Amino acid sequence: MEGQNRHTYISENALMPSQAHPFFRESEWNFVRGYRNEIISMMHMPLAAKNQVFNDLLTEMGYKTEILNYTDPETGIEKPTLYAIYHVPKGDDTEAMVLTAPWYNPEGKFNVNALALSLGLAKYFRRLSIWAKNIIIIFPDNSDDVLRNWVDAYHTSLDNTGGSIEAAIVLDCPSSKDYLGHIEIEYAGVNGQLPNLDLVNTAIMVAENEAVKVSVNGCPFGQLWTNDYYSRLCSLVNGIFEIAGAGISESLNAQCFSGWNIQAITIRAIDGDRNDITNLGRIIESTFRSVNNLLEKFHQSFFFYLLLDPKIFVSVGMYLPAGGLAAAAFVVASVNAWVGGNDASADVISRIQHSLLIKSIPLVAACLTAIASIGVCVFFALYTSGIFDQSMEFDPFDLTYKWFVLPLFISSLTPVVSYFLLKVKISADYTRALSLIVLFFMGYALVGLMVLNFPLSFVIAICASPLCFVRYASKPSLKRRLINSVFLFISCPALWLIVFGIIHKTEFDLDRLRNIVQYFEFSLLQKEVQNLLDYLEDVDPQVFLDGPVELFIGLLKGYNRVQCWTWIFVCFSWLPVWISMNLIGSIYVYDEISDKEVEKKNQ
Amino acid sequence: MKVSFFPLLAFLLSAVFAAEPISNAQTTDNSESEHQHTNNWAVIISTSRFWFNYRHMANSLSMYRTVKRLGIPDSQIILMLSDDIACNPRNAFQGEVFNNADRQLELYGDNIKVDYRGYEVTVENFIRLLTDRWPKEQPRSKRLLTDENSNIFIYLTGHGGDEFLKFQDAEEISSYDIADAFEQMYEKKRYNEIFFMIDTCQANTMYSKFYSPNIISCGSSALHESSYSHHSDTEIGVAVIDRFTYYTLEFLENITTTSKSTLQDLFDSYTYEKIHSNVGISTELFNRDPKDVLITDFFGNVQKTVIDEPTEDLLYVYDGDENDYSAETKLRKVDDASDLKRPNVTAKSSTKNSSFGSNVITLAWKENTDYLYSSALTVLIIVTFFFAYNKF
Repeated sequence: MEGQNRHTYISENALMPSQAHPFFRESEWNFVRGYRNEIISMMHMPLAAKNQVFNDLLTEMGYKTEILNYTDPETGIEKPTLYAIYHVPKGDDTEAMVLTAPWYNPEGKFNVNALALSLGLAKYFRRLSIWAKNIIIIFPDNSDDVLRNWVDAYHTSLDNTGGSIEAAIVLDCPSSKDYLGHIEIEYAGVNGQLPNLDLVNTAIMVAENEAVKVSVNGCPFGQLWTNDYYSRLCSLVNGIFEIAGAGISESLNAQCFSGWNIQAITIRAIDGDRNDITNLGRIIESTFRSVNNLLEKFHQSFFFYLLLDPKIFVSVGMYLPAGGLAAAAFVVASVNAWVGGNDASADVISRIQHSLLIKSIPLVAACLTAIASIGVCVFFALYTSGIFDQSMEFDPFDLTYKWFVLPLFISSLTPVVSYFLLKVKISADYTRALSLIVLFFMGYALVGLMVLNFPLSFVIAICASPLCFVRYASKPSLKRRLINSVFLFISCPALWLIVFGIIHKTEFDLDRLRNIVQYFEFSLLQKEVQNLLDYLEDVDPQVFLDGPVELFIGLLKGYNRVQCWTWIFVCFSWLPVWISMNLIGSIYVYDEISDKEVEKKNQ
Repeated sequence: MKVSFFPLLAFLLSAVFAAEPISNAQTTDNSESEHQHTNNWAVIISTSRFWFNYRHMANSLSMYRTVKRLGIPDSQIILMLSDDIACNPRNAFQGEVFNNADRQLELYGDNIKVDYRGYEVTVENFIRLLTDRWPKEQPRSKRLLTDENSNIFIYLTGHGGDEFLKFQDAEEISSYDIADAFEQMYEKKRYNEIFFMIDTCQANTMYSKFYSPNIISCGSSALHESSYSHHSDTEIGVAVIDRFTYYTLEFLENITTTSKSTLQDLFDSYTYEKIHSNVGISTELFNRDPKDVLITDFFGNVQKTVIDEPTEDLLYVYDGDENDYSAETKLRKVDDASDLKRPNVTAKSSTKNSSFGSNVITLAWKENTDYLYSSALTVLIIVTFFFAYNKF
């Protein structure tokens, strides 16, 4: 671990976090309390009425407000978004910073403190004379589709805008108490587009100057002080899955701003009594002042990184080799297929002499097969991505299980089934060329993705790696076919859909696993097993079925919601390669050597 | 023969009597003539842009204020400010620049004349300014109109490195460039002496390539050292001044136009504890000892004026006060005058600007200690002339 990571640092000189004294203190606290009482009292009012109250308040403060209408396409409920712009008098009116306080947080809780604090800050920001960038405050109904719709509209159709958005903060603070424990910062972005590390660092540095503990990658409170191998590993794995899964889950938060060159983070306040609400206010104030100090866009520092800790990160140069190695496995397998023939039943060395040459007809046929399978899968991806926009009636459950999971599971058994049923033989050159092409393609696609979205590339590479071991055989062997089936099954996208779906749905806590591994005691294990059993007893089995469905729907919707490429990439690389390997694993080939020997003898 | 002898004798005699004071005056003049300067100029430059470099603008404006306070007129100060932080929207104190968090002293008042601002502050303009190579249309107010009698104080601040200084975040000037520009200035007789002061990181490397005479240099930090800011103003939210400049100013604040402090005193005031870097001083090219160089030789515009102190008040008008005629008073007056006078005559070149070569008698007259000589001389001359003319 030593030498593989670095301490974070502020790379952009202009930011100067925490150099200015934040004045959002006791007197502002009174305003926040007042707003909170107002907000609680109108909790049950319809959204339009609530917006109207806010509209009046913000107009009175001197903000230019507007309401963007949005109708939920699935339910038809109207969810107008109120936003307010402070066109700062001294700025050049070309850049803006955004503070977002959704009415309801991703868990569906009424976001009381976030709303009250945003109003308090709005009032307070109006009094400062240091702004060079406009300030926009948004109150969407929730922080997923409604907010995303606003972000899209802001860049396309909205008339009342305040310049390009440099940075955005989404507040998630549903408590209605005056105190909070620590804060969590979420930084994942869709398609691996993370906010500039400088912004994350600034927020963290500012928070630490306020003596507020910061957690990243969902690190639990108890682990905030530890700095050992297991805690960092746990954090790293969580971080990788958080980024790989960005754009898929229902709650998007700051991910809504992805794709428009906006640096966005989510700040979530966790209940507790270590800090008060003005601490959070000062964190936002200081972060805004830092962003305000910027003269150019965020461009220093890193856009590709993995945070192990609020203060420790792994830079792109350090982690790329890991992804590169995982992807290289496919390239090696591909070369092996070319040189060694990927024939499980043949002696590799004896084949090398004449193996580098592939006859042209099988080669063309293999190419066509590969292209066809990729084409079909991409068409499938694009078609399924558009399903929910065409207002067709689909049962998500049926769609997931009947149309995706079951077919794939069944077809992963093809090698075994075909052992008994299908006894056609095909040219060895064809299977060799096909496995060469698809495995190389897989490696290449993963390397390409790795540069943009390392976590996703890495996760797919690990999950799909058993594909490298699927081999054809010239001699019929049930054992080989069984092995092929097992490898195909464990590298099946559907299997991993179920695994990740369940993990996500049941909120699997990696930290508990770490705790057992790190401080192993029999009694501890016993306790955890008991916990697990209790959980299984309590939980509705439906949850295990719902998890994958939600994940699958998230994948399908991802592209239309936030231009999330995950599903398309899976269908572009993983799925066609899996299908091709399935084909390779299921058919016999002519044993060329024996055939040639026969020919020679005949001559 | 006899006719011409007496006037000749008179002349010779007078020459003998007058010889001593005349030769004294001459030697003093010769030894100091090389360092004689008749005008002072200051070139003050901040080279870095952007809001977070507030302190560089504050540094320069503080120096500007100081040289102006010590008497260099605006027409002889070239101020180059690379950014307008006073009117930056991020400035909580609009139109104002401070060099201290106490905000007692506003530097950007009404009386500021910036010669080069914003993107005019370039390496090219700086070199052109030094060497005075301009197109015809360049206004005189933006030129460095120095001559061989000019003492120039040059102050640079910004972000530097090993033998370079960044201008505007876009270009840089190297130590060689400045050295060659100084050489051109020397060849064109554009200065008498230069005091080069620079406050950047690795500042001492900037003067390492100078080779022209009569340049004394001072930098804030050695090679591979950073120069640090002194403190931040937490309301403005930026560092407001650099350490080196802060302590330079601290010293200069106690200087007045009549101060006798020398450059050595300034250099002695720099310590590592204060500056947090090793201040460099280069006197190799300078043939005076910093001990003998007054601060005001560079920072002020001190025109030396010699005030005659005659034994009697020449403009005195008798108002009937009997005390004026009291012997005691008169005696005391004479004593006081001679006491006051002596250090002036010996220590400084007070006579240097007075008209050497003017009437011998006047000179002798002035020296009250030579009373006897002068009266004898007068008598002698009268007697000589009397004899000479009486003959005919």
